[in-house]
Amino acid sequence: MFRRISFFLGALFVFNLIMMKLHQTGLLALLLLLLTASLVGAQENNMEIRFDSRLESILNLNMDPEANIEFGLRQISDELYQVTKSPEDVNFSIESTGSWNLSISAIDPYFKGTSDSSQKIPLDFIGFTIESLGSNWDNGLFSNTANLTKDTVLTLSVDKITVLTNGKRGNVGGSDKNAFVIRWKFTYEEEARKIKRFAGMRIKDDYYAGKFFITLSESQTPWKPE
Amino acid sequence: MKKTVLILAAIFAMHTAGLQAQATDTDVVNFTAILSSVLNLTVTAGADQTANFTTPADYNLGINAVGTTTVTMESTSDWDLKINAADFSDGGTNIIPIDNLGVWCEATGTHQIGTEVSCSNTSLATAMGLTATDQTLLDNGTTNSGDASDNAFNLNWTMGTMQGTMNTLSIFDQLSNGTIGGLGTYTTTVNLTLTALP
Repeated sequence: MFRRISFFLGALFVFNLIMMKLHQTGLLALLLLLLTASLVGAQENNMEIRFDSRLESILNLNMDPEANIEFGLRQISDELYQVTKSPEDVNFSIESTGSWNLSISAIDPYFKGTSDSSQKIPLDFIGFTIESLGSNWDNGLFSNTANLTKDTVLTLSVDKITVLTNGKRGNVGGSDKNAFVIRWKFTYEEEARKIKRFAGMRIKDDYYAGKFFITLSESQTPWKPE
Repeated sequence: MKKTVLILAAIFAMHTAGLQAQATDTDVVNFTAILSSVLNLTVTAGADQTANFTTPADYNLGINAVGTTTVTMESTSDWDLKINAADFSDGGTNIIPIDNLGVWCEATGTHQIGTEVSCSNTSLATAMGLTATDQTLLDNGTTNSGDASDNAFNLNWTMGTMQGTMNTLSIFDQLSNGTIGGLGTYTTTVNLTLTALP
């Protein structure tokens, strides 16, 4: 212990002697200057840039605004009609930063003849399904989108029918995720009751057309069964 | 009398000799020039940047040109410039991963990228996706010490464009998969660090 203290005091004495000598010769100031300069050289220079990013809400429905349902019929015999023109599929896509629901409704309760507008066919003679073409799943409430037409053909109505609803996984996304096609279908073909009704209408040969609304709306919570 | 004249002549001669000695006297002025190290980074414009996502294209493809920050460096030694930033935050729990923000450089001073200065991110296609840890954006080439007219650069910002080393998912996809928790205003601070190289 004594040896250690002696060694420390000795080293301190020598250090003091060196510093005094340096001070006398002015070298101490030079040494401090060099030390400061080397420290300045090692320093870094920093600047900051403030960056804001604003994500604004988007809810877009992309489809042909002129899209309608048009089909042609020609009577071959008393109870036999030929479809001369089938309704064209309607493609649409949705771009949304939030979850969404989609409903569909007809503008009029009838399809009207394009040559003779007094000729009318009830809406329920045409049904539709919506097929997903995007990468969002439409397999029900536990997927991205619940598609009411997934396993059934719905008929048009003047009342809004909510056909696509937000699923548990959420259906946020662009048109690559939310792309769909509406496929129209003559429903009388499958129901004997409608065939009879249709035959009883004495439909004239014509092209028949109807218009419809597609309504896209935000949905903050996953859809729940009523 | 003759003795007196001799004494006066001797005194005059001595005085003259003394005067001559003073006229040729010299002295020195010690002059010390201290060249201290200089290292100065200046943001000359574009210290505040904003990226607005307002259209489907913004969300799908990103914003190519958000804005430009111009910087200059004055350095007596060679230097490099590092960059980092934390994730964007909405002040709550939602974030935007910082690698959605990209940057690429252009030299506007005398020093050129590829000669005096080196940089791997010189176009939108090769943009650097930012990270929370430092990455070297500009580095020494042949030698890049110099003043602000030598070392002037544009830092071009891009966001959500999936270029270079940026995030490979679109902002839409990240909203969809929940990485980005919601809409709103997000903020971060980008840190630039100029370092003198040994």
